[in-house]
Amino acid sequence: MSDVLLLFDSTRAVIKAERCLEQAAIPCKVVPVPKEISSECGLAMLVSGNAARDAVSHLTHKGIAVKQHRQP
Amino acid sequence: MSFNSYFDNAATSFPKPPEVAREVTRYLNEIGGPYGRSAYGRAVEVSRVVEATRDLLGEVLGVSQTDSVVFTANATQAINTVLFGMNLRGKRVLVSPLEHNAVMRPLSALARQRGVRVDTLPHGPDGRIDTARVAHALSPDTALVVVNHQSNVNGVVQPAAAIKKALGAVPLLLDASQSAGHGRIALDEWGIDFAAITGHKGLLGPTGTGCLFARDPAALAPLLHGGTGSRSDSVEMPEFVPDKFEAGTPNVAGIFGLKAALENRPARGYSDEDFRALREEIAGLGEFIVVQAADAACQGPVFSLVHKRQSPSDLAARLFDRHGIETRAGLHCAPAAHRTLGTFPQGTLRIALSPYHTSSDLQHILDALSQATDQ
Repeated sequence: MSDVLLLFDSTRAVIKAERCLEQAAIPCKVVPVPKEISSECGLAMLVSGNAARDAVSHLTHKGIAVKQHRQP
Repeated sequence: MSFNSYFDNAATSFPKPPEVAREVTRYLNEIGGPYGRSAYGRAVEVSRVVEATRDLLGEVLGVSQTDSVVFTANATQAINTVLFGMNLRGKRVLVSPLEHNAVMRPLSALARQRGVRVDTLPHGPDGRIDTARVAHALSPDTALVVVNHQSNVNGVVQPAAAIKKALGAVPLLLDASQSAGHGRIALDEWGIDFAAITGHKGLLGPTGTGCLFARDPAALAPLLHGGTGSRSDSVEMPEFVPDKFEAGTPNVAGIFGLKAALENRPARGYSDEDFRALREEIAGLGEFIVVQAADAACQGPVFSLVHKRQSPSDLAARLFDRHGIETRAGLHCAPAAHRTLGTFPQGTLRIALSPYHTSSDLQHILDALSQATDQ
Protein backbone atom coordinates (compact mmCIF):
# COMPACT_ATOMS: atom_id res chain seq x y z
CA MET A 1 0.00 0.00 0.00
CA SER A 2 1.41 3.39 -0.94
CA ASP A 3 2.32 6.03 1.61
CA VAL A 4 -0.18 8.67 2.60
CA LEU A 5 0.71 12.33 2.83
CA LEU A 6 -0.76 14.17 5.79
CA LEU A 7 -1.27 17.91 5.41
CA PHE A 8 -1.57 20.46 8.19
CA ASP A 9 -2.26 24.16 8.44
CA SER A 10 0.87 25.22 10.24
CA THR A 11 4.38 24.23 11.20
CA ARG A 12 3.20 24.01 14.78
CA ALA A 13 0.58 21.45 13.80
CA VAL A 14 3.19 19.35 11.97
CA ILE A 15 5.54 19.31 14.93
CA LYS A 16 2.71 18.54 17.35
CA ALA A 17 1.57 15.73 15.05
CA GLU A 18 5.07 14.30 14.83
CA ARG A 19 5.29 14.20 18.62
CA CYS A 20 1.83 12.62 18.95
CA LEU A 21 2.54 9.91 16.41
CA GLU A 22 5.91 9.11 17.95
CA GLN A 23 4.24 8.73 21.33
CA ALA A 24 1.68 6.43 19.72
CA ALA A 25 4.48 4.43 18.05
CA ILE A 26 3.14 5.24 14.58
CA PRO A 27 6.10 5.73 12.22
CA CYS A 28 6.07 9.02 10.36
CA LYS A 29 8.41 11.30 8.46
CA VAL A 30 8.35 15.07 8.07
CA VAL A 31 8.70 15.98 4.38
CA PRO A 32 8.31 19.05 2.19
CA VAL A 33 4.88 19.73 0.83
CA PRO A 34 4.93 18.57 -2.82
CA LYS A 35 5.03 21.49 -5.17
CA GLU A 36 1.69 20.61 -6.73
CA ILE A 37 0.15 21.30 -3.31
CA SER A 38 1.09 24.89 -2.81
CA SER A 39 -1.61 26.10 -0.49
CA GLU A 40 -0.32 24.49 2.71
CA CYS A 41 2.74 25.15 4.84
CA GLY A 42 6.20 24.03 3.88
CA LEU A 43 6.02 20.85 5.94
CA ALA A 44 3.90 17.75 5.60
CA MET A 45 4.11 14.22 6.92
CA LEU A 46 4.34 10.79 5.36
CA VAL A 47 2.86 7.71 7.00
CA SER A 48 2.49 4.27 5.57
CA GLY A 49 -0.85 3.46 3.96
CA ASN A 50 -1.46 0.78 6.59
CA ALA A 51 -1.04 3.28 9.41
CA ALA A 52 -2.87 6.21 7.85
CA ARG A 53 -6.26 5.51 9.35
CA ASP A 54 -4.81 5.10 12.86
CA ALA A 55 -2.67 8.19 12.42
CA VAL A 56 -5.55 10.39 11.34
CA SER A 57 -7.80 9.03 14.02
CA HIS A 58 -5.16 9.60 16.67
CA LEU A 59 -4.40 13.15 15.54
CA THR A 60 -8.06 14.08 15.26
CA HIS A 61 -8.63 12.75 18.75
CA LYS A 62 -5.80 15.01 19.93
CA GLY A 63 -7.44 18.03 18.30
CA ILE A 64 -4.93 18.38 15.45
CA ALA A 65 -6.62 19.20 12.16
CA VAL A 66 -5.22 17.01 9.36
CA LYS A 67 -6.03 16.24 5.74
CA GLN A 68 -5.02 13.12 3.84
CA HIS A 69 -3.49 13.17 0.40
CA ARG A 70 -2.79 9.74 -1.07
CA GLN A 71 0.49 9.58 -2.97
CA PRO A 72 0.10 8.74 -6.65
CA MET B 1 34.68 37.28 48.20
CA SER B 2 32.99 38.31 44.97
CA PHE B 3 29.42 39.50 45.00
CA ASN B 4 26.71 39.94 42.44
CA SER B 5 26.71 43.70 41.89
CA TYR B 6 23.92 43.76 39.31
CA PHE B 7 20.59 45.01 40.70
CA ASP B 8 19.00 46.14 37.43
CA ASN B 9 17.16 42.92 36.69
CA ALA B 10 13.85 44.69 36.07
CA ALA B 11 15.48 46.26 33.00
CA THR B 12 17.06 43.02 31.87
CA SER B 13 18.33 40.08 33.86
CA PHE B 14 21.96 39.22 34.36
CA PRO B 15 23.53 36.75 34.63
CA LYS B 16 21.72 34.15 32.57
CA PRO B 17 21.98 30.40 33.10
CA PRO B 18 25.16 29.34 31.24
CA GLU B 19 23.10 27.07 29.02
CA VAL B 20 21.49 30.14 27.41
CA ALA B 21 24.65 31.35 25.68
CA ARG B 22 25.58 27.76 24.90
CA GLU B 23 22.31 27.15 23.06
CA VAL B 24 22.37 30.49 21.23
CA THR B 25 25.89 29.67 20.09
CA ARG B 26 24.93 26.12 19.15
CA TYR B 27 22.15 27.46 16.96
CA LEU B 28 24.36 30.07 15.31
CA ASN B 29 27.39 27.82 14.84
CA GLU B 30 25.97 24.35 14.36
CA ILE B 31 22.24 24.18 13.74
CA GLY B 32 21.27 27.20 11.67
CA GLY B 33 18.32 26.89 9.38
CA PRO B 34 14.90 28.52 9.32
CA TYR B 35 11.71 27.90 11.25
CA GLY B 36 8.77 26.42 9.38
CA ARG B 37 9.98 27.06 5.86
CA SER B 38 11.63 23.78 4.84
CA ALA B 39 11.70 20.06 5.61
CA TYR B 40 15.40 19.23 5.58
CA GLY B 41 16.93 18.02 8.81
CA ARG B 42 18.22 21.21 10.36
CA ALA B 43 15.06 23.14 9.50
CA VAL B 44 12.87 20.50 11.09
CA GLU B 45 15.13 20.48 14.14
CA VAL B 46 14.71 24.26 14.44
CA SER B 47 10.96 23.93 14.16
CA ARG B 48 10.95 21.28 16.91
CA VAL B 49 12.90 23.58 19.25
CA VAL B 50 10.66 26.56 18.53
CA GLU B 51 7.53 24.53 19.20
CA ALA B 52 8.98 22.97 22.36
CA THR B 53 9.74 26.50 23.58
CA ARG B 54 6.17 27.55 22.82
CA ASP B 55 4.95 24.65 24.97
CA LEU B 56 7.26 25.70 27.81
CA LEU B 57 5.92 29.25 27.60
CA GLY B 58 2.43 27.78 27.80
CA GLU B 59 3.45 26.23 31.12
CA VAL B 60 4.82 29.58 32.33
CA LEU B 61 1.51 31.23 31.46
CA GLY B 62 -0.66 28.42 32.76
CA VAL B 63 -2.54 27.87 29.51
CA SER B 64 -3.57 24.71 27.72
CA GLN B 65 -4.35 26.52 24.47
CA THR B 66 -0.70 26.69 23.44
CA ASP B 67 -1.38 27.37 19.75
CA SER B 68 -2.42 30.82 20.94
CA VAL B 69 1.01 31.47 22.46
CA VAL B 70 2.62 33.68 19.84
CA PHE B 71 6.28 34.64 19.67
CA THR B 72 7.01 38.35 19.59
CA ALA B 73 10.18 40.40 19.81
CA ASN B 74 9.23 41.63 23.26
CA ALA B 75 6.27 42.39 25.50
CA THR B 76 5.84 45.80 23.86
CA GLN B 77 5.09 44.17 20.51
CA ALA B 78 2.64 41.80 22.18
CA ILE B 79 0.86 44.70 23.90
CA ASN B 80 0.71 46.69 20.67
CA THR B 81 -0.76 43.67 18.92
CA VAL B 82 -3.67 43.67 21.35
CA LEU B 83 -4.19 47.42 21.54
CA PHE B 84 -4.03 48.03 17.79
CA GLY B 85 -5.58 44.67 16.89
CA MET B 86 -8.83 45.19 18.79
CA ASN B 87 -11.52 47.47 17.50
CA LEU B 88 -11.21 50.19 20.15
CA ARG B 89 -12.41 53.15 18.07
CA GLY B 90 -14.44 55.48 20.29
CA LYS B 91 -14.23 53.04 23.19
CA ARG B 92 -12.98 53.34 26.74
CA VAL B 93 -9.96 51.50 28.14
CA LEU B 94 -9.30 51.18 31.85
CA VAL B 95 -5.72 50.80 33.05
CA SER B 96 -4.00 50.13 36.32
CA PRO B 97 -2.34 53.15 37.99
CA LEU B 98 1.12 51.62 37.58
CA GLU B 99 1.29 51.16 33.82
CA HIS B 100 4.51 51.24 31.81
CA ASN B 101 4.87 53.31 28.66
CA ALA B 102 4.65 50.05 26.72
CA VAL B 103 0.93 50.44 27.42
CA MET B 104 0.53 54.18 27.89
CA ARG B 105 2.23 55.29 24.68
CA PRO B 106 0.18 53.08 22.35
CA LEU B 107 -2.94 54.15 24.24
CA SER B 108 -1.94 57.78 23.80
CA ALA B 109 -1.58 57.16 20.07
CA LEU B 110 -4.96 55.43 20.01
CA ALA B 111 -6.52 58.37 21.82
CA ARG B 112 -5.32 60.66 19.04
CA GLN B 113 -5.99 58.31 16.13
CA ARG B 114 -9.17 56.51 17.17
CA GLY B 115 -10.72 58.55 19.94
CA VAL B 116 -9.98 56.01 22.66
CA ARG B 117 -10.62 57.27 26.21
CA VAL B 118 -8.31 56.07 28.96
CA ASP B 119 -9.23 56.02 32.64
CA THR B 120 -7.55 54.58 35.71
CA LEU B 121 -8.89 51.77 37.85
CA PRO B 122 -9.64 52.53 41.52
CA HIS B 123 -6.64 51.81 43.69
CA GLY B 124 -4.86 52.28 46.98
CA PRO B 125 -1.89 54.58 47.68
CA ASP B 126 0.65 51.96 46.54
CA GLY B 127 -1.21 51.46 43.26
CA ARG B 128 -2.79 48.14 44.16
CA ILE B 129 -6.16 47.92 42.51
CA ASP B 130 -9.21 48.04 44.77
CA THR B 131 -11.08 45.04 43.42
CA ALA B 132 -14.22 45.87 45.39
CA ARG B 133 -14.62 49.05 43.33
CA VAL B 134 -13.65 47.69 39.91
CA ALA B 135 -17.17 46.76 38.79
CA HIS B 136 -18.37 50.30 39.58
CA ALA B 137 -15.67 51.73 37.31
CA LEU B 138 -17.01 49.90 34.26
CA SER B 139 -19.25 51.58 31.71
CA PRO B 140 -21.06 50.16 28.68
CA ASP B 141 -18.31 51.44 26.37
CA THR B 142 -15.44 49.87 28.35
CA ALA B 143 -13.87 47.59 25.75
CA LEU B 144 -10.65 46.56 27.48
CA VAL B 145 -8.84 46.65 30.81
CA VAL B 146 -5.05 46.61 30.98
CA VAL B 147 -3.22 45.65 34.16
CA ASN B 148 0.49 45.64 34.86
CA HIS B 149 0.75 42.41 36.83
CA GLN B 150 3.86 43.42 38.76
CA SER B 151 5.02 47.01 38.85
CA ASN B 152 8.50 47.73 37.57
CA VAL B 153 8.70 50.64 40.04
CA ASN B 154 7.50 49.48 43.45
CA GLY B 155 7.01 45.76 42.78
CA VAL B 156 3.31 45.68 43.67
CA VAL B 157 1.70 42.49 42.39
CA GLN B 158 -1.89 43.00 41.29
CA PRO B 159 -4.68 40.54 42.17
CA ALA B 160 -5.22 39.44 38.58
CA ALA B 161 -7.76 36.73 39.32
CA ALA B 162 -9.96 38.99 41.46
CA ILE B 163 -9.76 41.79 38.91
CA LYS B 164 -10.89 39.51 36.11
CA LYS B 165 -13.69 38.17 38.25
CA ALA B 166 -14.89 41.73 38.85
CA LEU B 167 -14.69 42.52 35.13
CA GLY B 168 -16.87 39.64 34.01
CA ALA B 169 -16.97 39.56 30.20
CA VAL B 170 -14.87 42.70 29.71
CA PRO B 171 -11.53 41.48 28.33
CA LEU B 172 -8.37 41.86 30.41
CA LEU B 173 -4.86 42.28 29.03
CA LEU B 174 -2.28 41.31 31.65
CA ASP B 175 1.19 42.79 31.18
CA ALA B 176 3.23 40.14 32.95
CA SER B 177 6.62 41.46 31.81
CA GLN B 178 7.92 41.76 35.35
CA SER B 179 6.11 38.89 37.03
CA ALA B 180 7.00 36.13 34.56
CA GLY B 181 9.65 33.98 36.14
CA HIS B 182 9.07 35.42 39.59
CA GLY B 183 5.43 34.94 40.49
CA ARG B 184 2.72 32.46 39.63
CA ILE B 185 0.79 33.08 36.41
CA ALA B 186 -2.33 30.99 35.80
CA LEU B 187 -4.18 32.52 32.87
CA ASP B 188 -6.59 29.59 32.41
CA GLU B 189 -7.47 29.43 36.09
CA TRP B 190 -7.89 33.20 36.29
CA GLY B 191 -9.79 33.47 33.00
CA ILE B 192 -7.41 36.08 31.59
CA ASP B 193 -8.07 37.01 27.95
CA PHE B 194 -4.71 38.38 26.78
CA ALA B 195 -1.22 38.41 28.24
CA ALA B 196 2.17 39.77 27.24
CA ILE B 197 5.52 38.63 28.58
CA THR B 198 9.14 39.15 27.74
CA GLY B 199 11.87 36.53 27.77
CA HIS B 200 14.82 38.57 28.98
CA LYS B 201 13.73 39.69 32.44
CA GLY B 202 12.56 37.20 35.06
CA LEU B 203 12.63 34.29 32.64
CA LEU B 204 16.41 34.83 32.25
CA GLY B 205 16.40 34.40 28.48
CA PRO B 206 17.94 36.56 25.73
CA THR B 207 16.69 39.99 24.70
CA GLY B 208 14.51 40.03 21.60
CA THR B 209 12.22 37.28 22.85
CA GLY B 210 8.68 37.57 24.16
CA CYS B 211 5.20 36.30 23.60
CA LEU B 212 1.54 37.15 23.39
CA PHE B 213 -1.27 34.93 24.57
CA ALA B 214 -4.66 35.54 22.96
CA ARG B 215 -7.49 33.37 24.23
CA ASP B 216 -9.69 34.52 21.35
CA PRO B 217 -7.37 35.13 18.40
CA ALA B 218 -10.33 36.11 16.22
CA ALA B 219 -10.77 39.22 18.39
CA LEU B 220 -7.48 40.64 17.09
CA ALA B 221 -6.23 41.74 13.69
CA PRO B 222 -2.52 41.09 13.12
CA LEU B 223 -0.14 43.94 13.82
CA LEU B 224 2.42 42.75 11.26
CA HIS B 225 1.78 41.25 7.85
CA GLY B 226 4.25 39.09 5.96
CA GLY B 227 5.54 35.63 5.26
CA THR B 228 4.70 32.77 7.60
CA GLY B 229 5.72 29.70 5.60
CA SER B 230 2.02 28.76 5.44
CA ARG B 231 -0.70 29.51 2.87
CA SER B 232 2.00 30.99 0.70
CA ASP B 233 -0.31 31.20 -2.31
CA SER B 234 -2.31 33.92 -0.59
CA VAL B 235 -1.38 37.56 0.01
CA GLU B 236 -3.57 37.56 3.11
CA MET B 237 -2.37 36.55 6.56
CA PRO B 238 -3.59 33.11 7.72
CA GLU B 239 -6.51 33.17 10.13
CA PHE B 240 -5.11 30.36 12.28
CA VAL B 241 -2.70 30.72 15.17
CA PRO B 242 0.13 31.02 15.79
CA ASP B 243 0.78 31.99 12.15
CA LYS B 244 -1.76 34.83 12.19
CA PHE B 245 0.52 36.86 14.46
CA GLU B 246 3.95 35.57 13.42
CA ALA B 247 4.83 37.35 10.18
CA GLY B 248 8.52 37.20 9.36
CA THR B 249 11.30 34.95 10.57
CA PRO B 250 11.28 34.74 14.35
CA ASN B 251 14.32 35.28 16.57
CA VAL B 252 15.37 31.64 16.38
CA ALA B 253 18.72 32.16 18.11
CA GLY B 254 16.93 33.92 20.94
CA ILE B 255 14.30 31.21 21.16
CA PHE B 256 17.01 28.54 21.48
CA GLY B 257 18.39 30.58 24.37
CA LEU B 258 14.98 31.10 25.92
CA LYS B 259 14.30 27.36 25.89
CA ALA B 260 17.60 26.79 27.68
CA ALA B 261 16.67 29.44 30.26
CA LEU B 262 13.29 27.83 30.91
CA GLU B 263 14.86 24.40 31.31
CA ASN B 264 17.73 25.50 33.54
CA ARG B 265 16.27 27.98 35.98
CA PRO B 266 18.42 28.33 39.10
CA ALA B 267 17.08 28.00 42.62
CA ARG B 268 16.68 31.36 44.32
CA GLY B 269 19.72 32.26 46.43
CA TYR B 270 17.92 34.42 48.99
CA SER B 271 14.80 33.94 51.07
CA ASP B 272 11.60 35.95 51.43
CA GLU B 273 12.82 36.80 54.91
CA ASP B 274 16.15 38.09 53.54
CA PHE B 275 14.26 40.32 51.11
CA ARG B 276 11.83 41.62 53.71
CA ALA B 277 14.71 42.31 56.11
CA LEU B 278 16.58 44.26 53.41
CA ARG B 279 13.64 46.60 52.86
CA GLU B 280 13.07 47.04 56.57
CA GLU B 281 16.73 47.72 57.29
CA ILE B 282 16.98 50.27 54.47
CA ALA B 283 13.95 52.03 55.93
CA GLY B 284 15.62 51.80 59.34
CA LEU B 285 18.62 53.78 58.10
CA GLY B 286 16.38 56.82 58.33
CA GLU B 287 17.69 58.31 55.08
CA PHE B 288 15.39 56.66 52.56
CA ILE B 289 11.75 56.37 51.68
CA VAL B 290 11.19 52.80 50.54
CA VAL B 291 8.69 52.70 47.67
CA GLN B 292 7.10 49.27 47.91
CA ALA B 293 3.85 47.37 48.33
CA ALA B 294 1.81 48.28 51.38
CA ASP B 295 1.21 44.58 51.98
CA ALA B 296 4.41 42.52 51.95
CA ALA B 297 2.43 39.56 50.61
CA CYS B 298 1.88 41.56 47.40
CA GLN B 299 5.55 42.43 46.88
CA GLY B 300 7.52 41.25 43.87
CA PRO B 301 11.34 41.19 43.84
CA VAL B 302 11.75 44.85 42.87
CA PHE B 303 11.34 48.05 44.86
CA SER B 304 12.46 51.66 44.77
CA LEU B 305 14.13 54.18 47.02
CA VAL B 306 14.00 57.92 47.38
CA HIS B 307 16.77 59.51 49.39
CA LYS B 308 15.82 62.46 51.52
CA ARG B 309 18.52 64.72 50.03
CA GLN B 310 20.23 63.06 47.05
CA SER B 311 18.63 62.69 43.66
CA PRO B 312 18.15 59.14 42.39
CA SER B 313 20.73 59.68 39.65
CA ASP B 314 23.33 61.01 42.11
CA LEU B 315 22.71 58.09 44.42
CA ALA B 316 22.97 55.58 41.57
CA ALA B 317 26.24 57.13 40.43
CA ARG B 318 27.62 57.05 43.94
CA LEU B 319 26.63 53.41 44.44
CA PHE B 320 28.39 52.49 41.23
CA ASP B 321 31.49 54.64 41.68
CA ARG B 322 32.09 53.63 45.29
CA HIS B 323 30.76 50.10 45.41
CA GLY B 324 30.40 48.89 41.83
CA ILE B 325 26.68 48.40 42.38
CA GLU B 326 24.50 48.68 39.27
CA THR B 327 21.02 50.09 39.74
CA ARG B 328 18.65 52.19 37.66
CA ALA B 329 17.57 55.72 38.48
CA GLY B 330 14.76 57.82 37.05
CA LEU B 331 11.26 57.10 35.80
CA HIS B 332 11.84 53.56 34.51
CA CYS B 333 9.63 54.28 31.47
CA ALA B 334 6.66 54.43 33.83
CA PRO B 335 5.72 58.08 34.42
CA ALA B 336 2.12 57.11 35.16
CA ALA B 337 3.31 54.87 37.99
CA HIS B 338 5.48 57.63 39.43
CA ARG B 339 2.57 60.07 39.32
CA THR B 340 0.51 57.55 41.27
CA LEU B 341 3.27 57.04 43.82
CA GLY B 342 4.15 60.73 44.19
CA THR B 343 7.67 60.29 42.81
CA PHE B 344 7.20 62.19 39.53
CA PRO B 345 9.19 63.81 37.92
CA GLN B 346 12.39 62.97 39.78
CA GLY B 347 11.74 59.25 39.88
CA THR B 348 13.43 56.74 42.14
CA LEU B 349 16.44 54.52 42.51
CA ARG B 350 15.33 50.99 41.68
CA ILE B 351 16.65 47.74 43.12
CA ALA B 352 15.62 44.63 41.21
CA LEU B 353 16.72 41.19 42.34
CA SER B 354 17.62 38.05 40.45
CA PRO B 355 17.41 34.44 41.60
CA TYR B 356 21.21 34.51 41.40
CA HIS B 357 21.38 36.98 44.29
CA THR B 358 22.28 35.60 47.69
CA SER B 359 21.64 36.84 51.19
CA SER B 360 25.28 38.07 51.16
CA ASP B 361 24.56 40.19 48.08
CA LEU B 362 21.58 41.74 49.84
CA GLN B 363 23.77 42.51 52.86
CA HIS B 364 26.31 44.07 50.51
CA ILE B 365 23.84 46.52 49.00
CA LEU B 366 22.51 47.35 52.45
CA ASP B 367 26.06 48.17 53.60
CA ALA B 368 26.63 50.23 50.47
CA LEU B 369 23.41 52.19 50.99
CA SER B 370 24.32 52.85 54.61
CA GLN B 371 27.60 54.39 53.42
CA ALA B 372 26.26 56.02 50.27
CA THR B 373 25.21 59.18 51.96
CA ASP B 374 28.47 59.68 53.86
CA GLN B 375 30.28 62.74 52.62
